[in-house]
Amino acid sequence: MRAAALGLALRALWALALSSLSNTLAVNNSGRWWGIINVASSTNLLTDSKNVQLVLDPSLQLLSRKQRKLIRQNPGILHSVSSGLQTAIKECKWQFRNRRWNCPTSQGPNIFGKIVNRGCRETAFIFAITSAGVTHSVARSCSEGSIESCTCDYRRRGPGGPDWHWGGCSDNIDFGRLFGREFVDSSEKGRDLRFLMNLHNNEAGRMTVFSEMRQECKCHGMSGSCTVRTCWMRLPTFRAVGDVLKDRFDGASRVIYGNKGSNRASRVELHHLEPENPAHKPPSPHDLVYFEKSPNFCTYSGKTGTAGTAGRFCNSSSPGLDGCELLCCGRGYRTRTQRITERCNCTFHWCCHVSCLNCTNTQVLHECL
Amino acid sequence: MAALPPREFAAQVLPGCVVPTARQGLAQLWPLLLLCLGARLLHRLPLPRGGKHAGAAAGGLLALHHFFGAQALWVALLSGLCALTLLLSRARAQRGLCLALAALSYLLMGELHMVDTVTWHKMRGAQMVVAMKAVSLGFDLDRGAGGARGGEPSPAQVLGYLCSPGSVVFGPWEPFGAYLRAVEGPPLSAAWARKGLRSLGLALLCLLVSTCLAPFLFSCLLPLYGARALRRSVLARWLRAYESALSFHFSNYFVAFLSEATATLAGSGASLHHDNLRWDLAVSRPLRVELPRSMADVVTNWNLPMSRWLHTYVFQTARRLGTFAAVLGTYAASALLHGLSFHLAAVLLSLGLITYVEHVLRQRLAAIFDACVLSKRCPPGCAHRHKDALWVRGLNGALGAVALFHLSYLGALFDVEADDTVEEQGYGMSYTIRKWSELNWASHWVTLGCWVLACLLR
Repeated sequence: MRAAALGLALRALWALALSSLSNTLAVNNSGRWWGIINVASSTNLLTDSKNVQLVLDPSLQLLSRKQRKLIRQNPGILHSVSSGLQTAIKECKWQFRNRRWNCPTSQGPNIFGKIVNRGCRETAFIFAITSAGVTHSVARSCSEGSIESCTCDYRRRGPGGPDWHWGGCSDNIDFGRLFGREFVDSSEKGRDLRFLMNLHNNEAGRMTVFSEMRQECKCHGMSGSCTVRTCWMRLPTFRAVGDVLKDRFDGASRVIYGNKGSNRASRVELHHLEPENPAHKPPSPHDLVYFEKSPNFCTYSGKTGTAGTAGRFCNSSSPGLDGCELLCCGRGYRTRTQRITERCNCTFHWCCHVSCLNCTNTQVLHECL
Repeated sequence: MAALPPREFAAQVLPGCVVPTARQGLAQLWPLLLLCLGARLLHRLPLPRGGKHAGAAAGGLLALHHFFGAQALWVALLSGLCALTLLLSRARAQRGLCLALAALSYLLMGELHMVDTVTWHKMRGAQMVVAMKAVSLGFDLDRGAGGARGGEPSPAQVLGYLCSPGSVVFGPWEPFGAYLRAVEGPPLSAAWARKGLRSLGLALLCLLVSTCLAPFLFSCLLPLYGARALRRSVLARWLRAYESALSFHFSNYFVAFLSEATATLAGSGASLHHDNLRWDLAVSRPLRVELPRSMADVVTNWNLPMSRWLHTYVFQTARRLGTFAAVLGTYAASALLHGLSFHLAAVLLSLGLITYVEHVLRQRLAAIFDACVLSKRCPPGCAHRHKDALWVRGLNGALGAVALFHLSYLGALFDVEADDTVEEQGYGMSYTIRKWSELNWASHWVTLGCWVLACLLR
């Protein structure tokens, strides 16, 4: 009897725990896979991508079952995903280094903080650039041969002739996009506006990597004439991807939930994004979309998870976003000087050593109040 | 093309460049190779001569059409013009000059008025070959030499020669006699097939080196730029110049070996040694260019048929004007043939000056030291006292290093980093001047120095 009661109580407790867990999950599930960035620090796992290890590593518990399965099926891809994520974060910080929101990250599972659960432009950028980072990195690892399940294969190369079509490593960008779609998008659950927005922005990130691929060519012919040309495709640098996405960030379109018609259209038709202003064109797959206004990021707010700009360094002579007026939100700034010693006037001596002088410079720093 | 770190190099360039380049190369070339084989088999058949020549001309036109599309018409027009000139000048004594004038004026007109730059740049090589063949045929007829001994060639013969598929797209220039021998149809043999395949393999190898390896030589393969202080130094600029030059050289070897393969496949390029046919056509000797003895050596081995043509038909004709004038005239003729590009003219005229000064200086040195340090290798029984001493080798090595320096300087112009559009249209004057002033006009100063030295030694 007592045992039965205990069992019941335990079961109730278990149910309680589960429901509370699923509640928190429902809120924070978006982009939970970002937590695997910490995987990169545990190096033993990278060399050994066996099942057991995957399950044991705590940061991998952040992944859904589908994501874990994908990682198991593609040995070696975990490293690629996590280094792609790191590149993306570095790029995000670089692109936003001069703005009030400077892509802050923290240790721990929620690396981007609460901004992820909003629907503003910054959220859109985070989703797009991390998705682009994974696609970029996986595509590159494929041709590098460090992922066992994909290679650079050249089935799609066109025939020759004067109007030849260029190939290059087009298949691994396909693999990168496919994998990104399966892996990154599976974090998103639900049917609401945020879900649609995140999926759209993920895809926009992948599209950007794809459309920025460049072709390099060389002419051959008698004494340098251009009788024959050979070309190959090259992935863009991630800086180029970041630049394009930053432009898209500036021109992002605000959307609302479009629920057109109640007839038996397909599900995809039912759920789609519409521009908030009906006069605008619907967003293209390349565009970033958002649905709520960004907070001003000026002051600390625990609720929205913004750190504020107090203590940030600003440029006193710039009238732009990095200028003290805008960056400090009109609160003013304090100025201090700093002496910095660094190596300078380095000269190369044949062969082979480099000698430098130590230079001390005074730097004037402006810090927001 | 920015320098890639080694990891990216291994990841991108090797699978991303080597395989697609080889595939694209082969995909564009196989119809030409098939046409050459077809011509060879046609020549083996017991057909009347006229049919063989017409077949060769048709094959050549097909090959041109494959590479240039409708624009192949311009090359066909040039061939037609040359054949017509030859026909009309039947009674004259100076047919070589007539043909040279006709071909040159056609080339200049095309360059200046008729065709847009990109198209013209694409077809320049093919037109050069046709013009060279026509001029050589004219001079051969004047001199009663070569294969033209058998009387007046028929128009079918002339057109077949000008457009033979083995040499119409990528060269090489071959004398009329060689074409007539190919039409005779020498027997198919294993040696012939081996030679063709070997040349084709070497061509592909050079293509890959030119596209995928040479541009990354010092950034990835031998990471010399790694040292930070080196990155902006003068040495780095010279290393980059050497990279560009190397890439350009290998592109040239690709075309050379390819033309060797097509000509061999089409049946020309066999020579008779003691009643044995030997397939030993050589268009370019990469080793003698990369490790040069002298600039004269480089110029000769760069494209052997071309230098043979220049020597036989231009240098020997212009010789009565004096050696210096003949040398410069030869390079000027070569520049005219290459089209009115400031860039190529600058390179070729610089080459003329450099080789002339080198020739004079080394002649003086050879006379003073009584040693084998001439631009050309001494023949086995030469009269010099010092032939193979260590210091002679050292001096030759040093002079070779100077040649290598000139080569990097000249080759820096054929930069892989330039835009595709630039490469398609050819490079302009401002580009040439900017590139060379980046290198401080060093080669021209060295040449001047050598010339002063040669004068002082007199």
